[in-house]
Amino acid sequence: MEKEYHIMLMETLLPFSGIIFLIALGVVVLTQQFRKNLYREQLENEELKRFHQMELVRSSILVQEQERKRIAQDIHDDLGAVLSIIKMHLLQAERKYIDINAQLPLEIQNIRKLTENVIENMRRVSHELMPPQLEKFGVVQTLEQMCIQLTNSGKIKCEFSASENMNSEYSNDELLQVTLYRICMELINNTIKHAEATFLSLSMTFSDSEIRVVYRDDGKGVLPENTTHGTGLKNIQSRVSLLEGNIFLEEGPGFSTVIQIPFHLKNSLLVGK
Amino acid sequence: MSRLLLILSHVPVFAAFIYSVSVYRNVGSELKPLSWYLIATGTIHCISLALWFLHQNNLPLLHILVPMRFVLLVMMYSKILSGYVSAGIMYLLTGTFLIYSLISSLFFEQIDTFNSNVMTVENILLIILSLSTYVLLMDKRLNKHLGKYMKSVEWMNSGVFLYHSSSLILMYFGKHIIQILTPEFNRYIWGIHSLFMNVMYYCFWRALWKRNTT
Repeated sequence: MEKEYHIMLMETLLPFSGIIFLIALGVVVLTQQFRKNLYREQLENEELKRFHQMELVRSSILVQEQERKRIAQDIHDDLGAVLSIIKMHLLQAERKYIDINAQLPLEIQNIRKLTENVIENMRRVSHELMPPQLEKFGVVQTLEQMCIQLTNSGKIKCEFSASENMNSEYSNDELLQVTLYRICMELINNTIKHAEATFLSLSMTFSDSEIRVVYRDDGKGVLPENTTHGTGLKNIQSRVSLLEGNIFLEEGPGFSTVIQIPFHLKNSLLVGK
Repeated sequence: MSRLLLILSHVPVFAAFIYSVSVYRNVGSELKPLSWYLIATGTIHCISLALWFLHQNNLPLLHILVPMRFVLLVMMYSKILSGYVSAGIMYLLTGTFLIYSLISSLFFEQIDTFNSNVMTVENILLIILSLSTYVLLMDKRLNKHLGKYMKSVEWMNSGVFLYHSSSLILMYFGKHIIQILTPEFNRYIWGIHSLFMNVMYYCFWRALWKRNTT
């Protein structure tokens, strides 16, 4: 009886346990593969989502820059020309009064001075929207000039340095030039408006693998809560992410930041243009 | 009495066959292998029943039915699980099973006998596939992948699992303890087997039906 029981156990139950084990093993292996593929699919979707977001930011910044350029040109060419003609007529009127030795009405003089002010402001606005030298000479010279003007104004001492070996691919990339200019201008504006600083330094290094921007000032610095809420810093971050770069805020006195833009990723930006 | 029971047990198979033929053109490519399955197995069951009435051995048909239904069900699972399991694994599984079933029919289990070994392997593989599919179906991300076929897939998978798990137990234990059972008890076992087969065909019919209503 016991022998029969053992035979029954050996012939029936043990192989059946083996079958159950095989099924369980098969399910585990297949489930693992499903999980792996689901995770891969999720990563692909996230990457696609990130890519679309980048595309959206890129196109909105491109449109913004194109619109700025158009407005700057319209102001400079149309409004500027009309105001210059008005100023010329006013000067001619003034000369006429001088010729006939008549007393120049005070109103005409005031109008001419106001027109000159408007022309000056208009030029400033136009240059702020899109500096003409940016297109002509590039970001390095534009920022260098800007730094000299800042120092000459006496408000703040500005130091600028840039590496000599700027690759032609960098200088030909208009979007890269404008984006770098906007990032630096945003940093400088933040320093002037909020930092109460007396000194700022900006250095740009162009290598074959990356662009490195180091910005420092001796102001009161940025509170940690402002790094997430400030519109200025958000703008900088979105522009840096447009170039697929990284921004690092350094601790210590004043404000200090390092921006790295990898070169190989810049190529993908050019492809997307 | 047993004749009537046999005919009745084939009613769901033929009903699913007729329904599958009638809606064949409206079935999407995802559920096409299921339609082929119902048409092919329905035809084989019809021939098998005819042979039974003619008092001929219909077991050779089982040697065709088992590999054929396995191939069609794996095709169905390949469609459902595309992107989640490598197509190579499915091809390897199908190819290996077909070779195994051919070798078994030629050398181990004669063509006019019951191919219980092949059926046991078929059941094991299909249980693994159906259980793994259940795990996958629990993931909400799959809703997007399967879309309107989700309910059909659930019904189809349930049918496969219910039939093949019960069939595995019946086949396996049937082979080992059949000698000690009375012929009457043996008939009960086959009656239960038919019941589960009908449940599977009902689930398959629901799978095709849900394709209309989802």
